[in-house]
Amino acid sequence: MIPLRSFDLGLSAIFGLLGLYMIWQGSGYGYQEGSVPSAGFFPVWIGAGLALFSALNFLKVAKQSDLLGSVERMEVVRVGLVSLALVGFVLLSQFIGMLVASVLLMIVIGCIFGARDARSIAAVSAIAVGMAFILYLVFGVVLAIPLL
Amino acid sequence: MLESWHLLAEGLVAASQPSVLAAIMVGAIIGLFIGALPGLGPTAGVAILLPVAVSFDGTAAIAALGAVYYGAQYGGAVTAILLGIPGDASATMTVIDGHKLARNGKAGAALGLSIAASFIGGLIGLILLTAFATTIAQAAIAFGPIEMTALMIFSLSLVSVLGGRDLNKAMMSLFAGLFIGTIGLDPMVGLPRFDFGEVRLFDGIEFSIIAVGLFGLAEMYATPPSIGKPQEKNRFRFRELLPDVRGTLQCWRELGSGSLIGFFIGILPGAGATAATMISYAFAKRTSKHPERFGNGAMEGVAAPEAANNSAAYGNMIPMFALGIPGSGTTAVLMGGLLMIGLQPGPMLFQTQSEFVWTIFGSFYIGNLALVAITIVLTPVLATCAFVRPSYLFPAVIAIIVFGIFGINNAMFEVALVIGFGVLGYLMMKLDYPPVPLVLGMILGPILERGIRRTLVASDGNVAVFFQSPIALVIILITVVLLVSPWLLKNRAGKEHQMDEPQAKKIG
Repeated sequence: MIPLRSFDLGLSAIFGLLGLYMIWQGSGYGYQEGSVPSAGFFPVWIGAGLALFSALNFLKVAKQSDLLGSVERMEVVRVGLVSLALVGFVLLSQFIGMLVASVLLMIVIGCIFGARDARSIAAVSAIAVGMAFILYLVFGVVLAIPLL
Repeated sequence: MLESWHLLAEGLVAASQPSVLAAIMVGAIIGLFIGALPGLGPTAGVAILLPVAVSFDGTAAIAALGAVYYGAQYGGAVTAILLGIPGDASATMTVIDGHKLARNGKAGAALGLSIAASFIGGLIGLILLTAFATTIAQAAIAFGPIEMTALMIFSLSLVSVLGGRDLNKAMMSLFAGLFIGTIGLDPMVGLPRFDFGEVRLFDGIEFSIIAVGLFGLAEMYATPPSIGKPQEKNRFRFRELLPDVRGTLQCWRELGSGSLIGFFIGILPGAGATAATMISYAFAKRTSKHPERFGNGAMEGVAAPEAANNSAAYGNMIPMFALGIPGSGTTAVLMGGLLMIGLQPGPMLFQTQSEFVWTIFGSFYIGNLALVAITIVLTPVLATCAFVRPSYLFPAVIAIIVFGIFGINNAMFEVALVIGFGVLGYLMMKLDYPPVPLVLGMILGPILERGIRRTLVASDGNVAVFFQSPIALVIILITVVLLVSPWLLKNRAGKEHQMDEPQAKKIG
């Protein structure tokens, strides 16, 4: 099990830094021109709000260690693996085309979500091939989207 | 008022075009399955189909997405009754009596009643939607830019009710959404903002990327692979699944009260269909001559929540269509769909796109009626949905997402963005950050910015102009009350808790 507290602290810190970046960048766009607001007016206020509430949340989570529970390690691994599989699909599509890459993507995702024995993998593979054909019909033929 | 019904009649004719009818049918069937499948709710369903649907004609797209939403309300009841597994949160109350009825050999009666209740609840919700939406929109036409800006501020303050338990996190989510809304060219002077040197961000981030990542991918990531494995064998004969007309008619009171409660709770931002089912169930039990039957297989215990959740779905659409305020996650995604096809929800929509609005309302009537037949026919298939394993379902859904997102601009850049938002959505879900404020911020932020800046340019930077309009002032006051009340209530509850503690110690 992985405690969620560290994730929360991390996300609050990232959001807080993003808020500060918005204030800095927003000021660069120009806050005001004469008496009327300019392109940086809204980002400065949003950045301030984001930084403020992120700091408040960071302090709250840092003070109270029992606010959130934990998450199973396998679940986090699953999220990481699916994301990696999707990144792999994006890269592979350029070389082998979206339809073939999608078949591989679906088989990999099926395995990540629990298809481990030969029968399940065969079923996922059949679904993947069928689905790729449907996707080709809907997107490639009906919607005429130029697939890679 | 009469004009509304005349326009609705025209809308019904327009919605009978083959392309719209096909969209309604496809949307309704997909919605039924999404409602029945554990792990995917109506918000995720609408979000996943959003990029695919908007590739088609605008009216057909929104008709299909709407059908997914109300179709899911029908579908959730099937697995709730037959298997005791609510496919969707709003079907949870139906499990209590519905599954008991099924175990007592009255599955058909319970299912028939749920379909009838869904239809009646939906119909009453639709009639009220037709009547109220135009009235509210007509009243809101008097709103100028100042009043609309005040209304947007009010909408954003809804995070206090839509934001879940932790207001801090809700505000973080809202500001993150507002940030995303600023990405791209500045609406007034055309200066690129937060583009990180990437030309493809000049037009901002497409709404469906956020919706699919936060609601679609995140929900799948958080679903355990063990879901869908059969724990209990429930088998029913087809004859047992046929409706019981007499039993349905006997529940007329609960059907009426559930529909009305559902609709009015549905209008309230943040309350949603699940709250409507709980309140209507409690009301039906309290006003029943035999409250002891509730929880032990009472037909009324199925009628009230099923009528309520369907009626609430239409109540939910009133603030979105009439004022441009999405009051729930699903309507926020639907509103994103409207924006993606180039329509701005709000009072002017009824003036400028009257034909579109009434065709969509007409499609809701047709879809609601069609779902009665579709649900009866598909019940045996829907009952098996609860046993579909994520390892078979999710690969197909993720492939649809990837192709749908690619189809927006025919580029993999958007697919890469959706991967990031999926991880962010998962983190937010696990850490209790509500995603709806982020979506609200992203949709309403640009409108609010334009409103504030245009008003200030027109008034030469005079902020007092926002307080000179009586309507704007009232809206701002309501906003302040909405924002301050949770803090006050929390403080009050804390003080009462402190006062109760010494008394409890004395008693102890």
